[in-house]
Amino acid sequence: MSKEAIQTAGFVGKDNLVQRLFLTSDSVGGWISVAIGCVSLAQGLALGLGTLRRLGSGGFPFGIGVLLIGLGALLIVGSLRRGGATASIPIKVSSVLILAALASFAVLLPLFGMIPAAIVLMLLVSVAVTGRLGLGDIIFSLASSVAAVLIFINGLGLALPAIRWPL
Amino acid sequence: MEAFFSLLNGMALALAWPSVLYSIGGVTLGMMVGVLPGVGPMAAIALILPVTFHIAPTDALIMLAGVYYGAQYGGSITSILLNLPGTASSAVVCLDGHPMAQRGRAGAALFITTFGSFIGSNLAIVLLVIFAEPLARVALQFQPADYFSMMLMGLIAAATLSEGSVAKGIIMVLFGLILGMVGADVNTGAQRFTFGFTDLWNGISIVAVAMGFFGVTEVIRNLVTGGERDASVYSVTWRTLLPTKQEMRDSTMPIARGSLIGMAFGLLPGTGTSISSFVAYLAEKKISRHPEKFGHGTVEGMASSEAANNATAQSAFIPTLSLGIPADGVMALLLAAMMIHGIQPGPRFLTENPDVFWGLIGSFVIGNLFLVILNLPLIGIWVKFLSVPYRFLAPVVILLIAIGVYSIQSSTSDIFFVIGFGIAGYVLSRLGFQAAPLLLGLVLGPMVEENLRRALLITRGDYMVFLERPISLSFLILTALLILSSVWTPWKRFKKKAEA
Repeated sequence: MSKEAIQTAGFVGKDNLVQRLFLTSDSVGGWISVAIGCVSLAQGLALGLGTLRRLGSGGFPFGIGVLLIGLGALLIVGSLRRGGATASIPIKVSSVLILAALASFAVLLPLFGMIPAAIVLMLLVSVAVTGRLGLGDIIFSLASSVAAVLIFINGLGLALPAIRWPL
Repeated sequence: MEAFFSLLNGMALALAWPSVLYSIGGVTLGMMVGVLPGVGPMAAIALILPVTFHIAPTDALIMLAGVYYGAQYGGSITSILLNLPGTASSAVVCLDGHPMAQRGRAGAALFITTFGSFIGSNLAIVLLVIFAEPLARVALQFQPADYFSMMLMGLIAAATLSEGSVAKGIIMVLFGLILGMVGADVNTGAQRFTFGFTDLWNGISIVAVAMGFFGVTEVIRNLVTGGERDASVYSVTWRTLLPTKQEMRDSTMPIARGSLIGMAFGLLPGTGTSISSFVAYLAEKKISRHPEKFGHGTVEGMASSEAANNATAQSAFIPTLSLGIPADGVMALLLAAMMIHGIQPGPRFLTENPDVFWGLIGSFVIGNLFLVILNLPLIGIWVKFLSVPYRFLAPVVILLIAIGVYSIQSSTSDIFFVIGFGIAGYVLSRLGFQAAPLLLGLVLGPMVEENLRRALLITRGDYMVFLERPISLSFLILTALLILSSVWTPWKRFKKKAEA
């Protein structure tokens, strides 16, 4: 729903209140800000604020925490008063696959070396983009992993094995 | 005159054998990411940042800067031929550039945008040559209190002038400040925000943050919003490249005005190329005798906005190089690159590293000349390049992210940080938060805190020092004005009008 449509909706009913307090982009962002602000504030207090003359390690985090809580509250109050677009954070299998590709690289690299790690990463991303795995993708990932070895290990001297077997 | 000789000297340095290759490599890569929709200069710079650790600092900066201003040229090609902005700053070019392409005038539109880009860039380089050194000399007088106020202004400007809500911009700056604090406190050695993880003791690498927030987030966003690109690219032949006399005449003054607007925006810390191109377009529409023709393929707005974003991209180096205040997210990354190479950004940079400074400026002249060659005679290659499918592009981007971030500290935990920042970046962008202010906060954060604490130490806790020193006071007044003006929101009205 557009901002205007919600604004013209008039009174704030019970459902509308929950919507405005927790479900709009602004309020969700506001709550995130408040949460991180609290962490920063707690961190500041734990480290010690120091004195005005000599700020302690916690002085700066404390101040930032206060500001974040304030600004977060501002966003939430703004959303309560004016409403706003509903937050939408679509999660697709493809996005999860991208993250999985990165994670697999981090796990496989120290165990098996650059080539296997790179191939698995690229194949996972290919599947994420097209939804299937073609011969072209496999050949492309093979070629790219060899290119990566030539550029980063031979060319730039990254201290990594191209391929290894941990057993 | 002295500056002129220094520039000549810088050009000689930039023409030396490896430097010129890095410059050409940088601008070519910049053109590529500019042309490709969905891969911005920010992601590209984050990607090649680890690679540049292995080369000389001057060459590294030359290459990284080349990507940035090269992308400003490339973006308009996609806008004109595909009606998709290759980069955010060339979005306005779609408005008139694409209608021109539909009329068979794509070549002329490309010529005018390239010409405008070239003029805008070069005028800004002149400004850079004239102003950077005197500005740095003034800045040498700055004391910690002045630095603090100036950086505060930079951060607030980043938050208020960027797109979207001001509160969200400031929140992102504060998130960046927190990320900048992770690790040991330089003054006391206390561990902050590490929560017992030894991997966090050395702080969070800016490359991991940039790759997560820009690289991974961009790929995820492209997959989610999806949509195949329109495959029909307009063909451009040599003969259609030349604009008519009338088109040339119509674009001359807009290019001059756009360059001026762009230069002014580049000097303001915190603004960026997208805002300057929007404002230049609207200014041109406002003073035009036939505003109704805008959006139907007139050259004025297009010429002006392209000159403006290129002028901004070059003049943004003035505050970055002479004050150490990054004008936008890309500049923040460049500052980070300097620090990694052991160069302390700030007013002393010019006097301590004149060769790096003038070599970099010299490379701008060469890079811009090369971009004109890349742009017009080689246009056919870029048209072909536009048809590279995303299924090949995305795996390469993600692989480069993984290897790049690993190579910094040879640590796989950095890759997991990238995953975390990618998720955070995606969620925050869906909620209307911009990532650039966060990067500025991350880079400037440690300096802001350091100067605040030093200023208070010198004055024995007297907070009045920020108001008593005229330089500091001026910056604070400017900061207050920025906040006030954002409450009044002229920019938002500007943008609304532009989008309408």
